[in-house]
Amino acid sequence: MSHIATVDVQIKDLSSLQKACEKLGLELVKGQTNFKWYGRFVGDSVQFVESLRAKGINVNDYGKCDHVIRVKDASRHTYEIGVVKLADGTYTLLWDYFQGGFGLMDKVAADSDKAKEGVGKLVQRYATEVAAKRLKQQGYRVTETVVDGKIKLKATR
Amino acid sequence: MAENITVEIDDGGAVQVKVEGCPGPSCKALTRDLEKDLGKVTADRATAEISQQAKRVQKQ
Repeated sequence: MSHIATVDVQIKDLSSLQKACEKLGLELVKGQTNFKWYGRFVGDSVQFVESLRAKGINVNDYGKCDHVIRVKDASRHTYEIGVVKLADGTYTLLWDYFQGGFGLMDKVAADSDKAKEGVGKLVQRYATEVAAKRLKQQGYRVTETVVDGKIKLKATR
Repeated sequence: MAENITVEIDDGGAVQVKVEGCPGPSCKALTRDLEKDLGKVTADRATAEISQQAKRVQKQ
């Protein structure tokens, strides 16, 4: 073994995000500029508001986005995920987990996320698509296995 | 020797990239584009194989 790197995932590639969505029963709607959520803050999310500011997002603009991820064949109540392009060219995801997003969180939260508040499953699938795409471009043969919720890509050439 | 790259992605989105069969500093170049595509590298360590190669170079 020669080298081990740990990487924090940043969303940069919309085509990989689109593939990830398709595999999870979601749909990336390019150019939709508003996403469905509760609609207003209720004063229980000070830290969250701070995290938005750190990304350069105005809290009054919450609900606005560049693209939307929605659950395929969802009810009209099901919340959506906003995909927002940041100043550095990467994308951030915005969502509302209130009441499980009325079906949204079941699709995007990790099985290990008992509170169903995060979008770990979607980020995991996105990272898998990005890695497989790059490795195949570099001429590797890629196999995928899943063990205890962890996806393992093995690339050989 | 075959080059093997393993990418492990947990369901929280944490990613670990491991390279095998590529002793020497060149192994870092092998995954540079992959790591850049994925995001931001927060930790990176050489393992025994690469360290031994570096020691051999120093001795020569």
